[in-house]
Amino acid sequence: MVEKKRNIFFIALFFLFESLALSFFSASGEEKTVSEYEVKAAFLYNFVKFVDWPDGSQGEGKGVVNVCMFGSGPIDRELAKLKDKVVKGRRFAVKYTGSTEEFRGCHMLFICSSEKGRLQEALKAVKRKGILTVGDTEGFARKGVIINFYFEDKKIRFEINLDAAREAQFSISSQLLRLARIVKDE
Amino acid sequence: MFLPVNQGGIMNFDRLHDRARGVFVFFAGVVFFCFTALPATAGTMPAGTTKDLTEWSLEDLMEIEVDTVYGAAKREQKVTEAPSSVSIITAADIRQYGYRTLADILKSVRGFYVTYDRNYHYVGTRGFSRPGDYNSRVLLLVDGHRINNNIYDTAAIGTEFILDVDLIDRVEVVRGPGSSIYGSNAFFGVINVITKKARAVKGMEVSAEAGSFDAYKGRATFGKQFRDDFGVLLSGSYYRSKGQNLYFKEYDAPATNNGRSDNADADRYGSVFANVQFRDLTFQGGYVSRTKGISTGAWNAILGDDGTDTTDAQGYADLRYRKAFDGDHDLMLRFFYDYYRYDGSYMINYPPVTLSRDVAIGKLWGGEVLYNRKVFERHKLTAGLEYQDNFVQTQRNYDESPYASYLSEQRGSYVLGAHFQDEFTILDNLILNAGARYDHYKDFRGRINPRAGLIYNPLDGTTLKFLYGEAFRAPNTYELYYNDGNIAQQANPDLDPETIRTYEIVLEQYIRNFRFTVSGFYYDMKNLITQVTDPVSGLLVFRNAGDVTGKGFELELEGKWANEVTGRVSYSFTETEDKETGTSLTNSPKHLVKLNTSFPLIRDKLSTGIEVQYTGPRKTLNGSDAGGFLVANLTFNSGKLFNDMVVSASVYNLFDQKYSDPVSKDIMQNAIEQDGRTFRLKFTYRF
Repeated sequence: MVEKKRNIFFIALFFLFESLALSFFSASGEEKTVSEYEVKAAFLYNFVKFVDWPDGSQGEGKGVVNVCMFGSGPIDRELAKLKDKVVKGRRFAVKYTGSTEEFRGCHMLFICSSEKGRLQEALKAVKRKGILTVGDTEGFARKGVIINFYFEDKKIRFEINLDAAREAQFSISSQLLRLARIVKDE
Repeated sequence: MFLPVNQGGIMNFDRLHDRARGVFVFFAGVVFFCFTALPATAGTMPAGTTKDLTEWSLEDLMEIEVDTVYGAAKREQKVTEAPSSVSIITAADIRQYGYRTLADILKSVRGFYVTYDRNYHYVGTRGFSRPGDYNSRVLLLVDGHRINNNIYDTAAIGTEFILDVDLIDRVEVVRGPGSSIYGSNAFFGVINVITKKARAVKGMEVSAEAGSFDAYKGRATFGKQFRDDFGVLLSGSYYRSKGQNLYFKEYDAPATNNGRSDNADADRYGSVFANVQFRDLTFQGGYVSRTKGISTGAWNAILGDDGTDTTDAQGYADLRYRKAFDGDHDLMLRFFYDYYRYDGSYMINYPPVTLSRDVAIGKLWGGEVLYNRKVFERHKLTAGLEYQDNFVQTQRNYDESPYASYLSEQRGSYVLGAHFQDEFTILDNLILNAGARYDHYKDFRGRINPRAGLIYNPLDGTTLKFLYGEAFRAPNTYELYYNDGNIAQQANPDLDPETIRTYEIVLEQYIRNFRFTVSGFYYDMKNLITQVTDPVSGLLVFRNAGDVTGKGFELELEGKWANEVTGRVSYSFTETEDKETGTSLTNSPKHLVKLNTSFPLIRDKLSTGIEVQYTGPRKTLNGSDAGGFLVANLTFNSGKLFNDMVVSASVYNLFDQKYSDPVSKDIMQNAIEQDGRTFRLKFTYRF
């Protein structure tokens, strides 16, 4: 019986600790600022304005931009908010993909960090399909992702792999290139 | 020794009281979690006044200061940041290499090996796979749902596995102790099978296959994502194999059919699986029933009698709610129900020839609550509470006619576990991952299992991990209570959990298209639950008797290239020692070599997967040596033919290598010969 009492004591202690930790942390995290992924989603929206999809590719698509998300990450809710927005006469649609076989019909592919291990597989799957790849993981651009986010003094920046863009036959407006850091294949 | 039937049945007042308390604590925890989690979200919900950022220019967007610089991205890099050495096998691998079962998949994993006694498959890792252990020291999960049953702790990896391998999206093999998160059984590692979701199927998919020994399998799967927040996947499979006619020299006498075991090796299963996701709710359920003929004369059954077989049926239903909140935290609630039934029929010549039945039924329900939160940019906290009520744990052993009962044990138990982990990003390139779990049991002392990992990235592409972990395994119902009327085996209700401490160093290096992994480990097991012969009664009994250490290292090189060429090669060296005898363990190969490569032969039309596995010599129970062997498997896959047809052809054990696996005391033979060269042809069609 002594043993059992001690166990209950332990569980109680656990909850006490947990509640203290959580109330403390929730109090400290209340500032209202825009989230990283809200901004990144807005970037994605803007990219469509400055990128021309290859002639005759599926991405040249009339009337719609299918933004696909590969893997899992906090950008999902922000992408969902882009749905039905219209840019250059094309309406945004959002699709979540778990495997590379589902890339058919995608115009833009956001590759989450979670898929770092499957990057080569993903890049292989988008080849010659006219899919604009975007990442937010260090090193992704050099590995062949066309646009990749990075940070500089708490601000979001992006780099463009021109070789990858050329190979995929995207033409990127100079307005966009001007703001980007240009990288090469590693 | 007389054992009263229904010793302390499940309606025992004391136990009910205990159980009620467990349930109470669990629900109190759930309520508590909701209270701590929800108010925090209310404050961070977007107020609706936020300006629509999509209307901002690029230049303006680039001026926004973001408060979560420590990108959530970082914490998602699971493989390199996980406090373990992890291998991942994907659906593409399963297709490329023609894997038929989870056992086939595990054989290809660095440092893993699989033993088969023509009834069940047994997984070994780090030199540990004792004959007679039903995979109780590895935790098997399907989408986080525990598969190890509540009678024998079995992790089913052969044809009795609940999921058709075609429904696997990927398998994550996490090495090292995982009890700090998962509790019991996560001793040498955790195998988490992630299922394909509705999106991956898109309509109807049917598959038909035929293989050696009249093996046929069919599968139909329907999957559709109706809306972004509503998807359904339903699948059913049926398999049957006539099996082989076998010969065992140990039985070569006129009284035992001259060692011949004909038509007794059949294997068949039917399974269904469903996954329905609606908004934040996911329901998942599965059921499998597998019957395997026992062709080896195990458990003193008459060799070659087709009336001897075992049926393992397993099913579960799992309902979970997962909600991600603004401000980087999420909550998961889960309820589950599990069913397991084992039904063994053994034709035994006492004489006269009698049908002996060995039956076990396990049922449980439980709940889990899990909460993740990122705080101070540098801490990711995870807290969880899990309750499992094993309300039926029944074991029976009896003769059909004339009826004689040897065992009728009805038990019940529960487990309550609480865990807490923190992933602390100390420096940009240094992470400390630490946590612990406490498990409270009804029948024996509870235990705290800690784990700590230091993950250091000195250079881009280089990861160093220093890991320490403890794990335990509670004795299962079979070990505690099984006796066959005290003819050959007696019970030991006084067993304590066994424990392990593991130290590991892992180096992962990414160079261009390669990933190179080196790891070294040392483990020390105490109070190992071991079957021994009682010196007084002369009966077999489980005791906390063993003390085992193991050490070794592993090397692996993986490469992936854009033109669909992939490959990996690994070598593992392991040395184990039983402290009592000073000798190495049985069924513990020192050397394991694996080689896998797949590449296209004709682009988009034909590709091939080649696999070579070497397993070093292993000691059998009588001390003799089951020699080392080399098995090669070859698979060809077509591209899409006609509309959406894919054809796959495989040859397993290409060079017809003869080899045998060490088996348990329950089988008279020391080692059982394995399949020679076999074939499989498979068609898959989508519409």
